[in-house]
Amino acid sequence: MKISILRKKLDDKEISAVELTRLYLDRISAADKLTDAYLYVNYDGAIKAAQSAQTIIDAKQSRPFTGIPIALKDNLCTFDMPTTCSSKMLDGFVPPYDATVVAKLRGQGAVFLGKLNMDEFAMGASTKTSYYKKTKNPYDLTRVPGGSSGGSAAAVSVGLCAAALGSDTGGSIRQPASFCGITGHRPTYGFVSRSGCIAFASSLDQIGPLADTADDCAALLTATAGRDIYDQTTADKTFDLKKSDKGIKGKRFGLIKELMGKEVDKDVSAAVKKAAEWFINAGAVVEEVSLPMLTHAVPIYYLISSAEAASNLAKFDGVRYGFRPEKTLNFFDMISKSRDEGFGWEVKRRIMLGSYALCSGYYDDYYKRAIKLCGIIKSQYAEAFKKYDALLSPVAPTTAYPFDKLPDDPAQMYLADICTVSAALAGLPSLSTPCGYDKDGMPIGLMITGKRFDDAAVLSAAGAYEKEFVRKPPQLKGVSEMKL
Amino acid sequence: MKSDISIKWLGNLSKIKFDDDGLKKMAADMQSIMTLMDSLLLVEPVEFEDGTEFCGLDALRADTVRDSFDPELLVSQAKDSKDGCFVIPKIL
Amino acid sequence: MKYITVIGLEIHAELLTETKVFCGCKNSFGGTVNGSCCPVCTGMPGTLPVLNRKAVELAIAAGLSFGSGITQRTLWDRKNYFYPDLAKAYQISQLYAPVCVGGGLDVGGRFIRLTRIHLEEDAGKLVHARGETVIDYNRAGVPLIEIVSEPDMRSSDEAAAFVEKVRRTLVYAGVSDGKMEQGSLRVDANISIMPENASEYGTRTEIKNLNSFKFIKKAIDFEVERQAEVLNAGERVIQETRRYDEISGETFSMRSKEDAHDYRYFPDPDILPLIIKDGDIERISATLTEPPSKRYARYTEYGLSGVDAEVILENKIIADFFDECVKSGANPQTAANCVKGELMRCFNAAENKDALPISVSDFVKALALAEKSEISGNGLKTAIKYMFQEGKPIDDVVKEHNLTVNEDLSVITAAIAKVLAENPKAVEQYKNGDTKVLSFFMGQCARALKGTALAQTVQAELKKALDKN
Repeated sequence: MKISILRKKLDDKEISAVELTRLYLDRISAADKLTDAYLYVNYDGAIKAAQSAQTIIDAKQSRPFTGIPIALKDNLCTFDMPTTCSSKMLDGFVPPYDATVVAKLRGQGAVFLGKLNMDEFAMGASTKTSYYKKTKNPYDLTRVPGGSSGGSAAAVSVGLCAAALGSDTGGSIRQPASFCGITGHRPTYGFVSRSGCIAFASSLDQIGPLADTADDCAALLTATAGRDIYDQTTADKTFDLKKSDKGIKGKRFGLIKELMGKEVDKDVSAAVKKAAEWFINAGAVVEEVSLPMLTHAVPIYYLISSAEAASNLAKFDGVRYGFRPEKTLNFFDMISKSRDEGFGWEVKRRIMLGSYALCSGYYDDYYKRAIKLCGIIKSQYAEAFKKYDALLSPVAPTTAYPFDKLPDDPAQMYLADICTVSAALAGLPSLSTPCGYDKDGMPIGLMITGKRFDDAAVLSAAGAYEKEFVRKPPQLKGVSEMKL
Repeated sequence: MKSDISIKWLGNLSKIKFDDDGLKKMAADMQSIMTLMDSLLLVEPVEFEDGTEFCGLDALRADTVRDSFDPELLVSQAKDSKDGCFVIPKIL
Repeated sequence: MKYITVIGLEIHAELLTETKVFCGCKNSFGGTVNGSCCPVCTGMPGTLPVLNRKAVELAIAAGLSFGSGITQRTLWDRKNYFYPDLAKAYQISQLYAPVCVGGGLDVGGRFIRLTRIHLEEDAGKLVHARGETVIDYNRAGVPLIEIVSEPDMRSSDEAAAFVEKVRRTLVYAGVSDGKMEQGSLRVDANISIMPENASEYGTRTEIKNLNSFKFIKKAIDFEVERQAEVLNAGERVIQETRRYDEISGETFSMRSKEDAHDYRYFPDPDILPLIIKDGDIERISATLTEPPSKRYARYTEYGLSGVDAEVILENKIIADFFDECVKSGANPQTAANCVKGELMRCFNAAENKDALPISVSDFVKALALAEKSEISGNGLKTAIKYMFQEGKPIDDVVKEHNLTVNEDLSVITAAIAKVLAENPKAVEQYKNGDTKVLSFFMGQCARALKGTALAQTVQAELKKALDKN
């Protein structure tokens, strides 16, 4: 349900904030036992927030998100709800503070329906590494929803919230959005404050919206973007879609050669090519563009993100918060046991890889080298943007796969991130919008990547395209489309 | 993976305790992962314009005191605390 | 076998900022446990460091005071290790591009070079009790500069003198309060010895956390002797970290179960590289007061002895006061005499060491009164004492304590007569040729006259009276 429609209905008093929230809570109760998107449903808190929101609405002082029911990925700190990063390490952890983005929305009177499932500490692309449960793809419950924001994507897809916030480090918003047939936007690095988002890789993490439409994503970006005194990597920029150069006509798009290779499924590349044709028919120019360093993007990404993660996750030792085992000999014994029992296997793998890449004797060959090659990726993008307004590609080489088809070999698994990691490495705005369905009816996403801080171009191109593309919502047994 | 770093040593550096099965599995996983990472060793780095962001002194935080948190709130999530302090077992 | 001692020092100084280096918590000494903390300095999930501008500026000020080069593009790095007093399990420090490079200080005629000065955050404090440890994060995140010297020092005396000079320079630059007893200045010493004709330095050991001049000297002396014994026995010195035990006066190995530690330094992605412009350096330079080394040169030009200059420079408040007096027109030598004399006496006895209760104008006026012989030399001392204790201006003090010189000879001669009458034995001694007794009589007369007579007048009349008898 579009946020603009909800806003109107609330302000026109067609529905009260509490009624709207109850509608979503009931829907969650009915549908989420199939999808398992939520880790924590904020029954009482949401009703209370709706009641407060109603006061603001009655006083005719509505802000864009007053009374709008939103859900949050469980790596975003909320002082009134547990924040676990889907990890045993943070089971039961309730932070004494809100993330900046949470505070901003709460300040507008948004209603938080609850916290959404994710891959543990945002490391993964299937949501399967969650300590608590497996979220299922609404289009086929035997398949993954993608990750790491799998809960966010599934929830939006079934209409279990008006929109959701997720996070994207190497594709964690875009890939699940593509697997679940919705829109997901990764903002330019530095647009949105990371304060209160439990860090995975500091130079790559960005908090972004998942919603039904590009407009809704833009609305969430407007509400969350801006310089933050608690995050010195935020830029002094605000976001305003209205000020952007709208549409597709006359624009130049580059179709990235290196991301349309033989590892991409036939159905996927066909859908992306069809979308490209649509762009051309709409008056744009679409040409092939080559960014050769992108073929190496996956190892570059894994070295940089794992190194930062190894350092960021060192604070989880059971001392000040988090899991602590019962019997320990001394401090060092305690922390090693906390981390062994508290962390899942994928998290441990990344930490080991990251520590290794930073070790003396290996730093130059691995971490330092990856940074240098990442610089080359950035410069190749910069070169491409001299000719093109935005770049097109698939979001993933495949559509959502069955849970039991997840590759055992880690390297194999990591290579599936090929399409999404490079935009993250370059800090560029990048969005996934549905552009097709494969022979099994699984959604396919088109990725649109723009210049730094040109999120408006990306969102408006997606907005224009989505108006013409007919989506097929998921058909969940016993769950009908949301009606107000 | 270069052979002179052992998984056990790396695990100790990262403060994660592995049992024997864990060590074996992690060694195998790291082997696979490092083969992928090693592909970068063959890539020729070319010259490029370094567009790294930076900031000036004026972008930094002013030296004004902000309210601290109540100690009880800070220790509220710790498994063991006493009078607003974090408590841990002895060091060694 | 004669050995040359080689010492390099790492001095950590806490900066005089209002807040911690990466968060807005108050940077202050003492206070309730964890009373000055927040999620950032206690390393809670999702928090980010926000760099304090003043901390960087003070680090630059320190560099300028030591003649260091200021790095144009300075970077912050993470030093990763696990210890309970380190909330994030990494310390944000500077390895690759520290704020300041090079510089140095003259210590007793030898120039001791600095390698670098960098900015980093302090760790929390651990308090060990029966079987458990308690962590106080008040100190976590306090900004520190680490001043690293080249291994240029050759004796424990020189090392201690270097530390004192560094401390003083930092206090003068307003960078640190240098209170070693409060832990705001800490010293780690790297010590090695080498045979006289050797071409390479010997293996060094590091002694951590020396927090007084006495212990710096004692620890170094012990360690040098210990290493000599090791080498003389034909063994090798092991490169290790040691701690100094104040009670036994010995150093002990701190070898822990961990062998070679790998800190896995890498640039902190949460902190952007910082560009320091020439304009920034000029602005900060303009705020610096004249460093002690320059003032020393100026004082000796005034004609002060080196010893006197050092006495005045020991405390910045005294030195600033002296400078202000000279600026207001006081004669440097007379001012110096009074400053290092009565003023310092009062200051050392006072509780408040942060300010002087006498105004510069009152002090200068008192000096002028003495010069014009309106008050005597003793009267001047008395005036300073009362101005200090009572906080009253010079005119009031002179009036209330009758310090104005009274040249009434009848009063003077009467007082002299009384003194001589009360001390017949001393008069006998003088008659027998003991002229030293004169100063005894001078003192007695000054007391009797309550300092209102000029010394030369009293002396002349006294001599007259004694010779008359």
